[in-house]
Amino acid sequence: MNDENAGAAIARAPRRPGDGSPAVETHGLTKRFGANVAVNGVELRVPRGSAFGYLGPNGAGKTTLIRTLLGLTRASGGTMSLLGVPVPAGRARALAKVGAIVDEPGFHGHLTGRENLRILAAARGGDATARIMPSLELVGLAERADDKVAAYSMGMRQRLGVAACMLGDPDLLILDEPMNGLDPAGMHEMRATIRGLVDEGRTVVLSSHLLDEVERTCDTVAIVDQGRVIRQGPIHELIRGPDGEAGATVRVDCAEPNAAARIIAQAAVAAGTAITDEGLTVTLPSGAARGTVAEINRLLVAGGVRVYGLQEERTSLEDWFLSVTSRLGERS
Amino acid sequence: MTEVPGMWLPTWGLVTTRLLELRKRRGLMIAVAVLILALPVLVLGLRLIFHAVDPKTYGPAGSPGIFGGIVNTMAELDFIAAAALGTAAGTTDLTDGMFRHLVVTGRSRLALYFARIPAGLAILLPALALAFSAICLVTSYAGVPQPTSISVGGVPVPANLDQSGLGTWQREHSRQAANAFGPEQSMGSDYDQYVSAELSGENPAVNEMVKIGLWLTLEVGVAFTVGLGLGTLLGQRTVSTILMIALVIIITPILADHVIPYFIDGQRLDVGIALDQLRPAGLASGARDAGGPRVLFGGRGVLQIPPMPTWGMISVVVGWVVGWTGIGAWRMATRDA
Repeated sequence: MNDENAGAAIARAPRRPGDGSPAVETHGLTKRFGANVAVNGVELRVPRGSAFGYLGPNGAGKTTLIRTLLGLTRASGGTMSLLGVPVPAGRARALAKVGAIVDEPGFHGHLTGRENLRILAAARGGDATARIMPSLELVGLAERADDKVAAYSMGMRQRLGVAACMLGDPDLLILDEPMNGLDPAGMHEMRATIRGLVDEGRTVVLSSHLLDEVERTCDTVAIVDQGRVIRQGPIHELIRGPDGEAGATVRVDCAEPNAAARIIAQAAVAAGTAITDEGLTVTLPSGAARGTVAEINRLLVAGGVRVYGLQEERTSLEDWFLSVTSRLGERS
Repeated sequence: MTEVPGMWLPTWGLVTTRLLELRKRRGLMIAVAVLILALPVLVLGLRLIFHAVDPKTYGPAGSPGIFGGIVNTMAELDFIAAAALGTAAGTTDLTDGMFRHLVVTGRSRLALYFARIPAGLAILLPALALAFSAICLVTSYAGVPQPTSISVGGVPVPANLDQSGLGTWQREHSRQAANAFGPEQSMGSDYDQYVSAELSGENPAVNEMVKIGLWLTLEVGVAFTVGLGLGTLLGQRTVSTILMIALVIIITPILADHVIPYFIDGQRLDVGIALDQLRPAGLASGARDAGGPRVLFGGRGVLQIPPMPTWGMISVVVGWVVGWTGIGAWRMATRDA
């Protein structure tokens, strides 16, 4: 049995959080292409052990920032560190524990998936060769490992890209549009894989334009627009807004809206109520749990109001994203 | 020793995987094999068969003329094969999108570049050795018998004479010597003429074959490293390959065959001209022209322009190899991935 079949374990017990430094940290990071500023004084802080979404409209500078972080292109200004190691000064040391897919993952089409990983494992050194098969198994490509990459679908190449990331047993994964080309089942698997990696204590930075996927996968996001990070933080906090504005409403379909509004107001379970032609709308208080909706239903039934239906309407990441980026201006 | 990804020196694993990537390119490998192996295998194979079937009509497979002709042609084809492999090695990661993956590993970009040199040579040199060994074996064991005399100016002169032996023969056969070497005899130039005639009529000696093999190795090595550097610089395999082929089949012959006044030193900077001048004596018979004798590996130049001194030839060759390796490494280190 050769090294690559020996199979060093990839999944493992939760990792230590490191030295407490962020997984990624940038200060005033700038990248110019002539007169065009693709990355403009970016201040970014990615907590360790989180799934971090990096969102922005096309041309906002997402990929350029990632390329700059990874040393694929030189920064025009600012400082950055990966896993607490300043780059580019400590680039080799930092990248030894980083796995990344940037843009569409490209491989030698005339070689098999396994052979492509052999090349990358040789470049990584250490025991990366022993992780080839476990990486392929992790992404579900073990059975196609000896097929030429030219015969792979786009989704399989994406998965091979993730397998390549895992060769270094990374503490930080930077994935640029990893869902591209995946079918719904593949996206589901990728989401589960990413969550699994985060559960092991790894940090995943996920750049994507698929807002729904980011919302389902990530805990924290940064929104980039025109080269600048305009917001960053936990998703639920960002959607709620800085002033603690309620993030959800409940439409109540009932026989007596006025009586229902009185009952809800007396119980003080809502931030406010409004009666429109469509019926009663209840605004939930900031940070309200889903149990609040059930409590409203219980109160109305106990108060003798016949309830036909309750529909919760939350602000989605997409709504919020469009409201804070220049795309909204383009659309209006 | 602990492996440091940032070190510029390539590891064994890096070299072997670069070799894997190149040798699995079927089309490229077929082209390289055809360019290096096809000519000697076909020519000598057919001559061996013909001679075996009908020895009265077809002479022995090997002869000094065949040897010189094949090796001189092979030198051109091998240069093209090595250049094509070099440009492919210099561009393949970029065009396939693998370069980015490799850079993200944290491995030194210089190590990634330098790993390609032994990997490419590991393909070229065995093929070259195989082809050249076949030529040498056929020439030595299935060639014409060594002559006991050689023809100088139409006059038979005993073979295998050293300089003093030739002088003795000239004194003892003054009339024949005058016919062969002219009435005004000068020992130095007469001996050069004798050696030239001898080399054109004799199978090359083993030491001469070794020199020729080394010269072919040098030519292949130069072509590969220059092709690698050019390919890495341009990032485009087709353009790089066309430029390399143009260098060997258009630019070098033009510069070698035409004296451009006030630009002779510039002409001498062409690596093809420097390599031509390093061509060993055993190949002189098959070369385009026999210019004035120049001693290096016992060889002589074939150029119309005044030959350059030995240190000049070596400087030009080393300059091309070091220069293009430096350019390729610099581009590799600074290229946006």
